[in-house]
Amino acid sequence: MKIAISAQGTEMESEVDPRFGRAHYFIIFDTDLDRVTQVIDNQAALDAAHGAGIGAATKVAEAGAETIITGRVGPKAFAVLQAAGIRIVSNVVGKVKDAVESFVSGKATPADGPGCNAHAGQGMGMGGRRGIGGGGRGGCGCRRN
Amino acid sequence: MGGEAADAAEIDLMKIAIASGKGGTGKTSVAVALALSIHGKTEFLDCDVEEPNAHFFLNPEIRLCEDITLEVPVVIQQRCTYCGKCRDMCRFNAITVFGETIMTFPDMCHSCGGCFLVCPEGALETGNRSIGTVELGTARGIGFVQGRLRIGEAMAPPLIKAVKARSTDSRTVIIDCPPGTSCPAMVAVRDTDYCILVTEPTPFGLHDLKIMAGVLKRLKVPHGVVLNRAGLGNDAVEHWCMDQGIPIHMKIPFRREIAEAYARGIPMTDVDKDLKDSFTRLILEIGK
Repeated sequence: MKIAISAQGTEMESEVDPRFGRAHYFIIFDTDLDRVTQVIDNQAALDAAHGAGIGAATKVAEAGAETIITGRVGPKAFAVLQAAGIRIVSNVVGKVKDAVESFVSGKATPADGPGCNAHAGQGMGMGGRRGIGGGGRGGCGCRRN
Repeated sequence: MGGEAADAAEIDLMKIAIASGKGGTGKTSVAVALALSIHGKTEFLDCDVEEPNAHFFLNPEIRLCEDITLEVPVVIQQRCTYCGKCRDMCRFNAITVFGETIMTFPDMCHSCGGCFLVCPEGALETGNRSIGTVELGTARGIGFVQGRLRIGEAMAPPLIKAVKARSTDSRTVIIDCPPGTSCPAMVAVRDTDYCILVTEPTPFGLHDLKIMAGVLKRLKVPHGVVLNRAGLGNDAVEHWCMDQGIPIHMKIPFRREIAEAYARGIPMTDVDKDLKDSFTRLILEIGK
């Protein structure tokens, strides 16, 4: 079975990326072969102004992953992952290899809902929306982790 | 009331935008005061569709309310071959395809129409997403139009355009703009004859004034400043305007009486005759 892990780097030693939609990479690990079979560069989603989670979830689905291990998943990405029949293991921190180990040994459990409300930081547009570093929006603004 | 109308200003028909950059500087107060100081046919457009509030001061009688919608794609499942061209074309990730699944996210859609053009199967038909309403009415002899963005809706510009499209060319038009310097503010000030920038003598007021003045320069909209809460803060705004050659048309004093009237929903021109005269002069000055 293939599992995907959102990662800040391309190695098993890399940290799990806490953001799903705007994760740097997705590492695809095949539990039957016990090795990494693919590393997906998520730069396009990182650059997207909107809908990063939708794009990221599409890539994970196309890679054939059956489970995603990540930090938190927004509602739109959650909908795509659900439609693709991908199980979601969220709120995971630490190294990718430890996350994989924990999942394979059956310690990790799938989530039953998205990690936060849609774009809590996207409200009024006062002051020209210049708040967060110019370009990107700073995630969902929830404090679950 | 009849006597007041006689000393109100009569000007050539103009479209005047009231903008600011910084929020809470007094755009609506100034826009309402201006509209009430013009003699002749006047129309007031509240383009601050995310939180229209001019109606509190003008108390319009609304006679028409229109729903404004955007065209969004709706998938005809039997026709879709999951080629993914619509997904690849959409810059806003409002549509995605994986395996034999296609999903649309109508609230992400900017209604560009690109997906309809690239779909080789004709598998998309047009649906509608409501973005808000436009309300039309009259207030104290002034034509009144306001947009009200649907709560949760992120796209203000198309609604602002809808409000502006309902203005008539046979009247002087006062446009109460949204705050900020991003798309909604730009759409509101575009194609106006003059823009009044309302600011306050504070570092924040100056900071955002500079950005908005830059926007207006780029859009080639002539502009001048009304300094609200004059007497507060410092004189950096005045110095900057002088350096840039931007006229300061008027200073509204920082007075409790004006704030109290505002809090009760009373335009400042109703409580201060001198202020009303100043606004009348302001209109005549811009008219030149």
